[in-house]
Amino acid sequence: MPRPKHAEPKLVNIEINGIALQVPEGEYLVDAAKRVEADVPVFCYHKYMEAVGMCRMCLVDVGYKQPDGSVRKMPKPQASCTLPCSEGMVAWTETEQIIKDRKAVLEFLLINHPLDCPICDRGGECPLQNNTQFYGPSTSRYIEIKRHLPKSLPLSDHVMLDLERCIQCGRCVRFTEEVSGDAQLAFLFRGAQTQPHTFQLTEFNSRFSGNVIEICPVGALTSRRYRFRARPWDIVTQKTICTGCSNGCNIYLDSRGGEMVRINARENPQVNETWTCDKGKFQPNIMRAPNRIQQPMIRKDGALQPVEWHEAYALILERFQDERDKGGVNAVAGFAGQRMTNEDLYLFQKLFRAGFGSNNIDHRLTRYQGDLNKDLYTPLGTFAPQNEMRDLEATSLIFIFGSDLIDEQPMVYLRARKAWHRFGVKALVAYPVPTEAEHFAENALRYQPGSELALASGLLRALLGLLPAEKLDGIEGLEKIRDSVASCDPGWVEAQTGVAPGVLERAARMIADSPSMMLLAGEKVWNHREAQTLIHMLTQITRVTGNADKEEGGLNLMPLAANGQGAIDMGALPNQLPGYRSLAEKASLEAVWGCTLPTEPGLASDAMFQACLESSVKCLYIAGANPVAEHYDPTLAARAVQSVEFLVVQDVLMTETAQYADVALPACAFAEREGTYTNFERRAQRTWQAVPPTGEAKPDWRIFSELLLRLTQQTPAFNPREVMKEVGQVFPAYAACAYDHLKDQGVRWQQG
Amino acid sequence: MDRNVELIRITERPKPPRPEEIPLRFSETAVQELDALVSHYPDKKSALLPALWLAQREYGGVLTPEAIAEVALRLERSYAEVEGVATFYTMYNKQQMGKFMLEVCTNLSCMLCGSYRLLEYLEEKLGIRLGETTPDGLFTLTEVECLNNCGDAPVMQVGDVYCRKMSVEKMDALIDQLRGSDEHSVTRLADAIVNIQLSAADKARIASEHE
Ligand code: SF4
Ligand code: FES
Ligand code: FES
Repeated sequence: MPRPKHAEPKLVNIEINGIALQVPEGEYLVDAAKRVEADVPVFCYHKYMEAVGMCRMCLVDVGYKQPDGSVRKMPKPQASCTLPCSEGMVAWTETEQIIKDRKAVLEFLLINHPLDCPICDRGGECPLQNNTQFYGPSTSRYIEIKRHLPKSLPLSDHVMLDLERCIQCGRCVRFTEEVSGDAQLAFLFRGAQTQPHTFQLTEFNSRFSGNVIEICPVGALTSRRYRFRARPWDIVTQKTICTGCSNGCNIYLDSRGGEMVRINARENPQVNETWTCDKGKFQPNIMRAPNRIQQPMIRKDGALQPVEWHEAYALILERFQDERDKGGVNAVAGFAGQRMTNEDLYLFQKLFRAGFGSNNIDHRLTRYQGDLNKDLYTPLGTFAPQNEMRDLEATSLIFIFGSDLIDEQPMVYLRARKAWHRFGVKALVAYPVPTEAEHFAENALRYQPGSELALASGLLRALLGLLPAEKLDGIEGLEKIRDSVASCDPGWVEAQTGVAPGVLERAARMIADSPSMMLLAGEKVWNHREAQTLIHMLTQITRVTGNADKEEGGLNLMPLAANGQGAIDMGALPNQLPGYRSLAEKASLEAVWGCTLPTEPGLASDAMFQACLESSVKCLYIAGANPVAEHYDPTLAARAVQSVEFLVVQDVLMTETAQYADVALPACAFAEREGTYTNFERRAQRTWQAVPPTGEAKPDWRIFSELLLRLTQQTPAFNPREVMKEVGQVFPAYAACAYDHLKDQGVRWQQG
Repeated sequence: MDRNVELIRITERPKPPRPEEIPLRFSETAVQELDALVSHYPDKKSALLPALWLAQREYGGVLTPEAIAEVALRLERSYAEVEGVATFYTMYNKQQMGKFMLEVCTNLSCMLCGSYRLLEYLEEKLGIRLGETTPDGLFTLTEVECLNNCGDAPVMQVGDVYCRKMSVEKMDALIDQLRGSDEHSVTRLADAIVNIQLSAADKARIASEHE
């Protein structure tokens, strides 16, 4: 059963260490104990995995209140990690018996443990070490020779296994079975020989392998990257978020002497629970990349030469203003990168609109360049995804359309898998080739690449035939929808997509029978030739199935890069102002900015690059993007940046695009600055500065702000917090995302 | 210890086999038997133990990595999971055994009735130590725990046959008899176990399909 989103849990009365409290029925006693700050040590229990009761560390004394008021105690201590709370439960966590039992369990676990803490990466943050300090015996009666096993066995490029240290808690094995689902680790042998291993010691090549390093309660699984690099007490831990994709996993970035040494997951039950993907956790240290742009540079005599910031600013403004004055506002253009924060993106479009008076701004690297105008908005009324992460557990069907989920949105993949594994949520996949998600999907539609539109139309037609009349009744424009797909019968769909009528029928029936459906649309939709029509079609599917106004269903076009959502929200678009306002609604913005704004829509990115080739755009400002490598049509982008007269590139690295720059400006990497990102579920989340900036790099927003100051002579924003405040003024939904409200876990903005 | 040193010297692991790289060796009958076994349970995973017995029979008495991979593939489980199960149980052979596995019970009753003496005798007679296989690949000598036949101690098991009240003379006769036989005790045991799990209807159906 999907997990209802707003279910009120039933409360039961229990008592822990003499303190009476109410907890939701079924909560494990070990968690309930935390509410009264009774610390119950654990090894195998993990909040986000099923409890197994393997280690016996969490023993407590338990009894139950009898009708006559007395308490009947269980004869033996119980494992609190597998004991659900029920009415009248009474527990004691610090009795003499329990203290003795904990000592015994630890003595037992330490029999074969090598106690090599001084050379162990885990030393200082090791649950085994900590529990032994707090609850363990000071000595052992075991004087025989310990078991000897391989001590540094590389399982993959990321993970090192030390078999002597393992205490067989099973967390790693359970993680790969329950959470990541690849089941690449298993316990081999039995009894004292039990050891976690991959099949035949082949490579542990899961996409989520890094998590086992963090959940191992001892130093048995360590990170090859972090091995012997630092000790927990000499690293500085900074909370921040990962900017690898639009999931926005919460992380801790640990640094030692200003150098990043590792990334660990930070718990956020709404977003990544407590997981990360390997791509993010083991991302290269961009701060120390050899090809960083270290200082502002201007091309002189064919080569980029270091200059002072003010010289670079002066040149940029001179050329941009010059060309604009000569060739009109369409002679200048700006391309914004999706790695930039909301503050950066906001100021970038402000620089172009208020500073240069041009709407020539875009951020899109995909083929979808359509007008994000009101009538095309998703059912929500805006272009933003409708659902949040935890809706995946509440919905009854997850329809993954045109997305290789594990690759594009790793955390959405994990959550969707969890929804299936734990709550029996069904999944349906449509993708040209087999993907990981097919493992848990009940049905898979493999279609000819590029035929997404035909497939969606065929599905819509089938749905109109299957859905009961009363459900279709109130749908606006139903006849028009019917007509638009009238010719898309199963035979036609098969010819177009290669999906057999029976398969299509089954998929449509699955959708029609589901009380709610979350549609997750991915890269194949963004890059479809007729993306606009395709999105329209998906919208209609969402509408006719009644999911447009459901909380646990809806259409979600998932952004493909870290702040793709923010770029749309902040109006880094040629025909849309911040807050999904059309250009005609510029008055309120003019009031805040104190200037008049252009009414003529600007050029979308393809047109912009085309204009560079035709030399009607003379000055191009690319900030935080690398279209030469990432644009869906790299040759177009490459030709454009080569032929444009004056190119400014502002980025962290000397990218393929930056090679062609006339002015190159160094930007701070994500961990060298602060800001906010909006993830795919519209959650604005903060990043914090973890390491000092490299060279002369500045945060992007500051560069824009300094340019703006020179152009408009208005008081600039002094920090991103102030920028965010201004964003809240022009886009009221973001007022809730001011820095004071964001806290550690971010806030989802709501429309209206 | 050597193995340990060897293991940590390799810093790059080979990749796990892709499904198309696994040589499938189950015979047609075995595939049908597996289908029948799977149909006894609500999900494929539950047929893991009998499937491993089938594999042990099909692969000549040993669960090689390929055998494990094949079972995993056929039951749609991960390789590691199946390997974990296979290594948990001692009756699944992870190494090639001799044609005849001589499993001598050395638990209490049999020990009191002289099973260790018998073991030593066998070691000497076959020229191997406990746990080893004769160079001609005929005999493997192992010890096992109680065979649940204490009344007839000392007891020894060869494949699916119990040899009761063993003595040196009986042992000589047995070894001679085995040398002349062309049975394969290990696969025969596996086959017997598979057959116990198949219903009469299953067997009849599979047999008729092979007419
Ligand atoms: S390696 Fe670590 S997580 Fe895995 S079983 Fe051993 S102690 Fe537990
Ligand atoms: S934490 Fe309860 S048994 Fe391991
Ligand atoms: S002790 Fe040998 S059969 Fe029981």
